[in-house]
Amino acid sequence: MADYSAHLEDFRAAGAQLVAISVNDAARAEPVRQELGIKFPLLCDTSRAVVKKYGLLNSGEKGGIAFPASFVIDRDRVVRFRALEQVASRVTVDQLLELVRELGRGAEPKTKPRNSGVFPGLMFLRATMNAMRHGVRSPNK
Amino acid sequence: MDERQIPSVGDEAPEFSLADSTGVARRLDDLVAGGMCVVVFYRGHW
Repeated sequence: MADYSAHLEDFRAAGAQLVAISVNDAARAEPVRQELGIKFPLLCDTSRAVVKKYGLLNSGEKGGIAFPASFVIDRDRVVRFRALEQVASRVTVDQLLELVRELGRGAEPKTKPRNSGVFPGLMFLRATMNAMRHGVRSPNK
Repeated sequence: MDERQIPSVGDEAPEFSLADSTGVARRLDDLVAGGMCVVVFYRGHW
């Protein structure tokens, strides 16, 4: 979270808001937000409704918590990128920021139909992440 | 986790409205209105 906070202005400059969601209530989330100096909203999904809606409920733990995941959502509310930690597609803040910058440069949401764009930055990121994901599976192992 | 339920690239992200830790209601539709929103789900329960 602190990593994200450090890059908040960069995300904003690239045209993206930033929010984080957990099942924590305000009494738990707010002190952490203040302690870490986080300047973006920490959303409190205490009912787990949103976590469930996004298919991310880890019901095996502590009454249900969220599986870590990141989404980039555009102004038409279309998912442009997602990373799920459970399936080894972790994404760093720097990678996310670069992606958002690319989307911001290329995006013309008013005129472009959905899903039409192939963004060089996204392709690069995908290739990089595939290499990261599959590259570790050496045939020698 | 049922991966099929998780919105994929190209899917419409489910709308939500949640209070943040300071009590302010945040709607996804408002968050994306300026361009994009990065939504990070984290485990919580520090």
